[in-house]
Amino acid sequence: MNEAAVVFVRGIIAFFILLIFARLLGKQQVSELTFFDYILGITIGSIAATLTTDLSSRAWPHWVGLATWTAAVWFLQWVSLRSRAVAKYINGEPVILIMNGQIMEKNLKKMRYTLDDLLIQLRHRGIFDLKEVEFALLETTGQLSVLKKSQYAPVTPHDLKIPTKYKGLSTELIYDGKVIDINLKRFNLDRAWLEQQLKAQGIQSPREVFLALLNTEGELYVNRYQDQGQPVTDLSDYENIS
Amino acid sequence: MRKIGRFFLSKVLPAVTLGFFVLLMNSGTFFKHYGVADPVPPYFQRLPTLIIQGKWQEAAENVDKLEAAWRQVVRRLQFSEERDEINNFRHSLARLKGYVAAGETGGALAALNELAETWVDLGR
Repeated sequence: MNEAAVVFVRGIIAFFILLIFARLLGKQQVSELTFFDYILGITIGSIAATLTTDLSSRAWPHWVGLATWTAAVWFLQWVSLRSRAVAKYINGEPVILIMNGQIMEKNLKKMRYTLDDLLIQLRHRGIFDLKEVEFALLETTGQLSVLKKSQYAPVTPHDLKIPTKYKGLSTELIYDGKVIDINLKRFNLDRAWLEQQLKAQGIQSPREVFLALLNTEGELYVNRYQDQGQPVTDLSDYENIS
Repeated sequence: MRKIGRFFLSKVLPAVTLGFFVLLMNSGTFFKHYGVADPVPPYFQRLPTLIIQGKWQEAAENVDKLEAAWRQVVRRLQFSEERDEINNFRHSLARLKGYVAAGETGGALAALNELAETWVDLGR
């Protein structure tokens, strides 16, 4: 028995199975995971690791374990999407930690959240003075959402009644030197238009461009491979460390 | 055309990959019996007779052939079977060789039964 070859083949199997199962479970960000999701991820990963290296048992039972856990997670997601009550039961509910500027000590204790944790989270959000906070909620993902008192909230164009233009998503027209024709077509544009725009910026060919984006106002953002001779600021201070 | 391509990449390819891996992980039972030039099970019927009759020379030759047959089949079984079972078979085979060389009927039959049992367990 060639153990290395077997581990290699099992590794390939586990890698692609994990990839397929992870895609099946959706695109939740790590920061959006609840504690339970986090543990689920670790368990599924651990089973995949055992599938790869534990040659004392067949690969199949590990696969069944992996599929069972994935199916269970998928089922919970499916039920949560269909029933708000179930979703709340599984994921929990946000908890108010600060209400009308007052810290809710009982809720802090219930969530096993220390005052230091609360203050750290507030500082992460740029709040160093508690009197700026109207509401603070501990989300089910463990993140803190903060609503500032109206007098401390940043002023928006809407507050000042300043008219603004629509701002949507930018579209990639050139990526890594290659023109994305399908995106040009979407805006009824063609390569001639693009080349004309590039020439106006002193660029002879799309191949010189690393990234070109078209925003919703029709402006073209171009980033070249050559950064026009600008030296990159060196942030390292290794030399100054004695 | 793009829709077909996307459907193929997002649905068909993962399903086929999963199916292939499932078959590969369960291929032991298939490879144990099919596509082998010299199958292993007939030796479990041939060898006891030779051992009981005391035909040790012939038995030794058959054990060597059994070992060659096992080596062929294990190459394909190793990806789906337990390492311990594969090793058990190897160890029982070594024991059988020793008993046959020494001309010990009881030990040889015991080792052979052990081999047959391990063989049955492979792929279960």
